[in-house]
Amino acid sequence: MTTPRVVDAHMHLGCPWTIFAHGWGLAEVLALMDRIGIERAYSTHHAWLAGRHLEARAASVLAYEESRGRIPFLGVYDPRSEQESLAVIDACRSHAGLIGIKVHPSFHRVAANDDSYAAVWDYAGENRLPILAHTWSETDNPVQKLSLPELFEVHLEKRPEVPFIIGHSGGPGAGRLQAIRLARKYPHVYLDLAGDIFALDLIPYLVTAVGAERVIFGSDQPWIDPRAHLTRIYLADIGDRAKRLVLGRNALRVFEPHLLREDEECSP
Amino acid sequence: MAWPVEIEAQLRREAAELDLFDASAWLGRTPAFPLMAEGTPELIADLHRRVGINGVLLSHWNAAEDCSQEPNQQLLQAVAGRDNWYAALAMQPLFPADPGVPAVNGADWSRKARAVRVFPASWHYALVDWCVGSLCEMLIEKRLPLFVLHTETTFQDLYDLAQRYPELVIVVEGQAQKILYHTRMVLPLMKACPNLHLEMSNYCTQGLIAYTVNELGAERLIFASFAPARDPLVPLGLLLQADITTEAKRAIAGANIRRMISEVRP
Repeated sequence: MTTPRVVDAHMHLGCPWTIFAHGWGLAEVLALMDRIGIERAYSTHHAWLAGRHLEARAASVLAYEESRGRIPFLGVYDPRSEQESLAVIDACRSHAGLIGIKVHPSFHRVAANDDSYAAVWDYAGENRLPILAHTWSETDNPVQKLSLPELFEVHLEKRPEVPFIIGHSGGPGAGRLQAIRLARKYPHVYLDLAGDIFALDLIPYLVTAVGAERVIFGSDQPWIDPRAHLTRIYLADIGDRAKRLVLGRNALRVFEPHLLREDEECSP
Repeated sequence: MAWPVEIEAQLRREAAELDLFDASAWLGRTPAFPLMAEGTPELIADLHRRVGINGVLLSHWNAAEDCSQEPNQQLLQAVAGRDNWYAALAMQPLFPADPGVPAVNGADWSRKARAVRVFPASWHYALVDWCVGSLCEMLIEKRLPLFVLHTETTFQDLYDLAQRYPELVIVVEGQAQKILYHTRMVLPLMKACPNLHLEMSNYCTQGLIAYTVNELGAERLIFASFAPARDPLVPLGLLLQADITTEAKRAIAGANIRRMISEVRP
């Protein structure tokens, strides 16, 4: 038996300015990855979410290089500045570190079904880039309703060639049920485990609901320590094959299929 | 490390060595976790057996949502006859006394009721001395720890209460909403108030357990699952792989809470 390939498909570099956190520097992140057996991590830089596109892109490229390619990155699309944010992403399109695009309707305060997202779905389709989206359920926080999974369906119907990752699997409430419905309906939809979606037996539940091929490990580091998720995957009652898929193979298949080894399943 | 036998076996072996005690598992359900299963003694027992948890301090969501008399009775029935199962009974301020909730001297505090839980926001009062002072004095007399969700009070009220009653053992819980947003308040609060402890089921920001242990000591954190709303494997994973000593892990896993509840007086 070989060591499982663990890929954290949803994490962040840079300072999470609104909370106290430490250990988010690149050297510390790499040390933690080594310590707990994470082979690769896919970063969306905090500064990129905050609109500091050029600074964030430079930091992301640097992190990719200093990590010797272990931390590829996603560019952020801001629907409030369509052309600018796409131009920043496009400028590093040929860089090996760019593996996808992140959208965050709650953070940018533009609902996921708004027409201003059409440009990024077109761009992702033309350039074969997956889209990872923040999603959540309706809560006391009013901006979360902008990221309900069902709001993305208008884009999913039009762009079946774009792999779409429902970040946080729709959150803790009804959004999760919407996420499951979408994953069942659209074969290019995946659910990730990032964030504090700590429901009892969530992983067996999702694997049963949508199939192990559609569930992807992500942490939301540094907001959430990857160790909060890994043990629940290792000890989940889902079987060894499902664990390998969830821990890393699904992420590789979606974002970096060229890194799948010959002895690994390239398709479910 | 090879997969899968060694990883799973090592995790389960390390978990068993910690001698886990769950300081916060719940009967009933709460709208705060809309998709959760109903908490029952059977579900909690099965879950603890799966994870390897050897004891529990049991609470009841209905005590926040409804009258606390019946939930308290259900708790006492649930823990009766189960080794290492104890109840955290819900209480309110002693004056004016809510009728029959619960009779301060009616519960067998030393045997099966080992903590008191309050829901100030839900029950429309505040954790201020002039309101809960007599309750705090009773808790101190009986050495009963006071449990409170961080969403049920304010950090200022917790600070004032902990300062006013330094002998009162207070356990602040990181549910039912993210406590990670409040760490800039929580850590100074704990530093200022040595009698205040933090339940760690949702204390999940990267490296925060090791940071807290290094800054404040392992005796300040308490392992809890918040099952069945939450997955006990989350805090277990955070604890098992934390960059702290095995002795510190054992303290957080169960030694701290066992020491607290062992000191309860009749």
